[in-house]
Amino acid sequence: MPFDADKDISDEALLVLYANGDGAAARQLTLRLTPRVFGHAKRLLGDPSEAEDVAQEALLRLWKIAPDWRQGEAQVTTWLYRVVANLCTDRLRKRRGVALEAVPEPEDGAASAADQMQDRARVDALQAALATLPERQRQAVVLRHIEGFQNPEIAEVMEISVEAVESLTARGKRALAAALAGRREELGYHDD
Amino acid sequence: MLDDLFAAACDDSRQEVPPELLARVLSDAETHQPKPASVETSLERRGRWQQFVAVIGGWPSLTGLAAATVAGVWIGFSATTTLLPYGLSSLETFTGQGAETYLTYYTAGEFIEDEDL
Repeated sequence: MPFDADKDISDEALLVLYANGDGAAARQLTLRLTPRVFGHAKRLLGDPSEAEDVAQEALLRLWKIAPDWRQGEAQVTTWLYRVVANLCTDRLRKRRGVALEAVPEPEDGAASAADQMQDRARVDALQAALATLPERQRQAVVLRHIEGFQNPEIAEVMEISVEAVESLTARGKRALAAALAGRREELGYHDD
Repeated sequence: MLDDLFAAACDDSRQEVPPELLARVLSDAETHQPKPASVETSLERRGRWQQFVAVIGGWPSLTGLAAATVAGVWIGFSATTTLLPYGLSSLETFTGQGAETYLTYYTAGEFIEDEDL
């Protein structure tokens, strides 16, 4: 199978192929899902090494459940994000009590252009502000505004109502705005 | 401002997956992947008799065919008395004595006429 011949195949179809022993499906699912799972875990945890562990564990659970996957019941990504959220919650609970200062500092990139540095500074500031939100608010905001999920999908991932999702994202955004208000100038936003 | 920050987070190149993680995930995938179901690929040739049985639909069909054959033979033999008054023994008279005996039956009117059937 050519490397990118199956971009149009759904995650679920690939999972069925995987369960039937198709090696190409295993590679394709790995390349397709790992970045999303890792990125989401990193945003929820703020720690790349912990995010790697969570991503590997979440996908391991997917490989194990593949032969028993019930088609049509849930989307693969929805199921995965739910697993990632649960794994992250477990880790955050263990971490509870650790001072915010102990959260790993955002990585420093190599020397780069000024605008790239500013983008990174903004992302780091957002990540730091996200870390101050309660877990559920953070998860809802990340899913809605960074992962690009719609509210019904978020409701399915978080196993709550759509109204609850709307409430969580609204409160989360207000809290983020408040947390970042003092850094507007520093991040390159000037009042006109 | 928040929308800008969200957009920057979406494009953050540092979200790229470390190659070591991809390797570990793929290794897990291959370790836990179910093996493909084995497919019977043997092309063992079957004998002519087995091919015949297969063509007619298997053993049930063969049983029906045998029953029909036996029934046909039996009907054939049992029906000879209606055609030859003395059964199969009549055949012997034809071969032994020729048309003379046949004519004897004919004149005696012992043959069954077609109209009587």
